[in-house]
Amino acid sequence: MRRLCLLLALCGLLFSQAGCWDKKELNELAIVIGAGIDKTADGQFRLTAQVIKPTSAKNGSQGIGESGGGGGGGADFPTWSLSAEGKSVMEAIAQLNKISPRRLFWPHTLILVFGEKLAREGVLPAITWFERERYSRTGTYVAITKGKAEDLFNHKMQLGALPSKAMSDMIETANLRQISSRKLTLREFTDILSTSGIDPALDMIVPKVIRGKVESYQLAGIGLFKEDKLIDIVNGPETMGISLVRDGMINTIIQAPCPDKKQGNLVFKITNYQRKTKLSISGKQVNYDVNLLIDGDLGDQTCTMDLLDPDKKSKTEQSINSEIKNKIIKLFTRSAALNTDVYGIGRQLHRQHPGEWHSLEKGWESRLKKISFDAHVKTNIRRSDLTSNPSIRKKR
Amino acid sequence: MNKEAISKTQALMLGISGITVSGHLLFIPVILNLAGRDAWISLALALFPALYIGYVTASLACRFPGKTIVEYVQTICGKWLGRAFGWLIIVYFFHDLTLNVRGFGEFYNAAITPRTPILVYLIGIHILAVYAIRSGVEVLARTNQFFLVILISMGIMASLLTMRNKDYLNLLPIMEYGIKPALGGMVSLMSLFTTIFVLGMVFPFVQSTRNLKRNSLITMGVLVLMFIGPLTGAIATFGLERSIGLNFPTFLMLRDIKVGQLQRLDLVAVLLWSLGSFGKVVLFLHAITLGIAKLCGMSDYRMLVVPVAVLVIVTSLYNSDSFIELYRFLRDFYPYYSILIGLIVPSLLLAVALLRKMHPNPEGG
Repeated sequence: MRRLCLLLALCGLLFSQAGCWDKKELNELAIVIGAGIDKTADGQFRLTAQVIKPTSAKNGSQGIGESGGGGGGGADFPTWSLSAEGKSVMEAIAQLNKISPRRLFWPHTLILVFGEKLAREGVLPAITWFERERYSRTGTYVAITKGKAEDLFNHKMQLGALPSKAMSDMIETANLRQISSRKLTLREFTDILSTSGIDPALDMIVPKVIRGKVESYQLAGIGLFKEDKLIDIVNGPETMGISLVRDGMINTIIQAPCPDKKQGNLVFKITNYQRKTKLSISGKQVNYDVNLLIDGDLGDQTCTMDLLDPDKKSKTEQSINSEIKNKIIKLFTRSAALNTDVYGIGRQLHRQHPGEWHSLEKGWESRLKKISFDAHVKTNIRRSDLTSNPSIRKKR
Repeated sequence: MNKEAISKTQALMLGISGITVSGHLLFIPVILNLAGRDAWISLALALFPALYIGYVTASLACRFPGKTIVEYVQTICGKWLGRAFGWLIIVYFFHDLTLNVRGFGEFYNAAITPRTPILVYLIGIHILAVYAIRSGVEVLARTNQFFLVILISMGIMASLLTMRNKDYLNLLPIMEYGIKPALGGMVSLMSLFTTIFVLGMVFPFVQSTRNLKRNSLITMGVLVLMFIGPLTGAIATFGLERSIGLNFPTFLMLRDIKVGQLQRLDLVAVLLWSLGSFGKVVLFLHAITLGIAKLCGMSDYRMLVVPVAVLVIVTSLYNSDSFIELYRFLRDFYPYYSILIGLIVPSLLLAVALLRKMHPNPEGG
């Protein structure tokens, strides 16, 4: 009898396993995989949520159905993007829920994209909900886009069925593709936003038109922020500066001109990376020095000389050194002119010289221009993959 | 006295889970708020008071073997004053338990299941606790021992897995505003550690009090170690400025675990806190019911377990309006009151016992 009662009680426990009042059925959820936030002309937030369409995900995703369903075009799209406006993000979500027959389910959001207008006017009011909401996760990547974030989502990707997944892969696996990306998550972003003496910089992702049609996305540089406001978009060679100084880039390539002759380029693959920053302060003068020790492989060259020849090698390395140094210093001067501290020099000053920081903190941004900034790079070409020199015919 | 007996390790393990869980769940945000980056200094400073209270609790137990707090209080202070002190201590345990139980329920409500009434969790954990207590001290001590081994290994694993999100440079600069913030955090931590005095209600069941003092000191050391991870980790992960506003920093840290396909480990956090809270509730509920039974001269405390559990649930719902209020109470008022009853009263008791030259006597058992 006693055992029977116990058994019944155990069975009763099963009912609580679904989460009591909070049980969620998969067929009642709309799983959000990406979100974009824009600001409309009248100052409202326009939220775009991309959800997975369950039916077409079953028969049309993962590449198999893609070629077969080609004729259908948009109808076979495995995702659906819905947008709504509100004076706050949460109100916009309430509006979204008026459109969506299923409850929006946020924990699987891969990426959060800010439209350019919103980013320029400040993203802080737009991210509070994402931090506070229990169903949102702070591991979500954040990025900005040119123009409206809403326009980013409704494109059929050639690789991968889900646009948001394609975007987050674009950022997440950048290293595997030998390029650099900031890879900033919402958690890191809010950490930087709330810390004085450092300003965020986000990846910019834009739709890529190929043969007149959007077929993929593109990492198109970084957006420099001043606090929570976008102030500049960098997509020149200096883009890499932030990855070099802050993120520690490995498996990324850097192109530099061949030494001596002014023609031809070489490509260097970073395989090992060490960074030391030296910060000293004398009076009100702050000196900041980045020291990089980089190992890597020679990956490509267009000039015909043997770059690994003992007397050429050091010159080759010097060429890479100055290229890297240029990138770092260029980004610094550009950001300092805009009064934004991308490298987090202020934060480091706070950590190492808290006393001085208290007197310098006020108006720190305007002091950035006066910092004597320098970078020292030392590269070592360790390998040259499978061949040591190009197929040159030796002339006698 | 019952013939039930538990080992020293089991008793001390009860103390570990009782303090660790309430600390990780409720006190981390309080301490971060008070001490900021220097939370780890607070912890280092709190080691000494922690060792002290562990020593006091153990030496009182050694001096009066087989007697619970409410019994030896009467021996030390005389019948009437002793009873008054006894009730005071029981109320203190009761209040502490209601705060923690409420925090436990609020955590579920705020972070995991917003639609489920908080009462479900409060009742659920108390059913389990009542069942364990009615089965006797041996059962609850062993259950807790079994859980704690899992909990500690899971906790260590969780802290290793969150390592890649942590940037320990966030802990710099050290002592930016002098020692004062660290002292504030230390007081808060002290108030947490002083609840270890509740072990005085469990020690009488321990088989032998040999080496009890030494083991108790080791336990307090372990307890302090248990707080290094969350106190430094939250700041390393979120940065000081962001970690201050977080209601459940440790939970958020665990949520962010992402090692390859091993991610979304919220469940680990929920498991850690649910099983840990079980240890806490069991330890305190047992202490309260046993204490009341002894004070009222009842022979069996088991019949009290259900009514006291109901009282704990009801009180926990009434003693604060919201989680924020609970948090403010823990930050602004709790330290003084907890230290008064958990640290100063036991010290006085020990002092009086020493002055009156009360030694272990054979008829105590």
